[in-house]
Amino acid sequence: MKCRKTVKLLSMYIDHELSGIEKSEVENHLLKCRNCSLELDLLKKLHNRMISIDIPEPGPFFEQNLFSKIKNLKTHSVFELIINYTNSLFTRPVWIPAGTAAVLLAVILFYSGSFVYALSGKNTQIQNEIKKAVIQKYLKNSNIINIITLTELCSDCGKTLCACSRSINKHEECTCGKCSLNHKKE
Amino acid sequence: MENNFYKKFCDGDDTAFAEIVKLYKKRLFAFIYKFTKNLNDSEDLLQELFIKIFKYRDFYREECKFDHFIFKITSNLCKDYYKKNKSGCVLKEHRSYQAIPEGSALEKQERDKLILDHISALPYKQKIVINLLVYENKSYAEISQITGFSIPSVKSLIFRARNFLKKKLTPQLF
Repeated sequence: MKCRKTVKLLSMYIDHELSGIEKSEVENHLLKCRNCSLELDLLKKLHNRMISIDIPEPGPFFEQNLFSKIKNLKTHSVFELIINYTNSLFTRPVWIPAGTAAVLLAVILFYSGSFVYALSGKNTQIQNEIKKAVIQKYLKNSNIINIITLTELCSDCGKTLCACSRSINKHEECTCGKCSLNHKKE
Repeated sequence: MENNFYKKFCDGDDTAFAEIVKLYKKRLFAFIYKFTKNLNDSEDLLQELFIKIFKYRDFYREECKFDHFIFKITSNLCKDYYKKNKSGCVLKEHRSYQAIPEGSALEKQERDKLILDHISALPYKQKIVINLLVYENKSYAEISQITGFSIPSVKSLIFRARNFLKKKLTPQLF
């Protein structure tokens, strides 16, 4: 083993982190090489000096202060929990669910908007009849308008409108067969 | 033994927490002090550390050594401190490069201060590994577990830290 490699391994040697073979190779080299032995002594001395330094201790009131803070922490823990939860809402990665929700909302708004827009063009009587049909079909038996009902309603708006309102405008009988409206020629 | 204390503490036994504080406060204070070199900052950080341990005790997994759990939190806390006070950690050159004479009480104080100055002047990663190695007697594998650095990185960081300290301290200490 050469000096350069030995010097690199000396740090691991004093930490007892070398494998059996490496250790014996280093030891063999150290027996022959004075410079590397001196280097090892220096590292050991440095290590011992570092261990021997005196470090101050925490102040006499450290524990007292700590436990009083922890006592306060316990009394405020519920309040803090709410604040932490609120903060975490803003720090959590919410992009994926937020993005999905935004897209869903946009789709729902688009369909319901188009339905309302189409409906606004009709006269009041037709409007009322379509509303009645929609309510009968989708909302009659549901107490709460949930998101599924709303989506279904919006996606079916076109169908409800297509046949019925067009037929009504033309004063013809409704032929779509998908709605409950039944207007005959006046 | 610490794991037993911690188990009791996790079960809601506050006296076990007091035991943990007693057991660790000196060691952790020494660890933190080598980062801050400031008594008040070290005490504040130590307090913050114990409060974190108290608050996040549910995050402790029994398969992991309690020692590692504590030092992981400590090293993260020291990292935050290091980031905030990066400019303060630059080594101020010691006033002389003459060897400090051996024997006097002042000599020991000066020597300790010199060593501390140079340890705290190390970059964060080197500082954390040398602290865990020299003062906490952790193996390379344990250091790797605590810090999250790979074992080859730990080896290299220790080698570089020792070389730096040897280069800086040899003319003054030996």
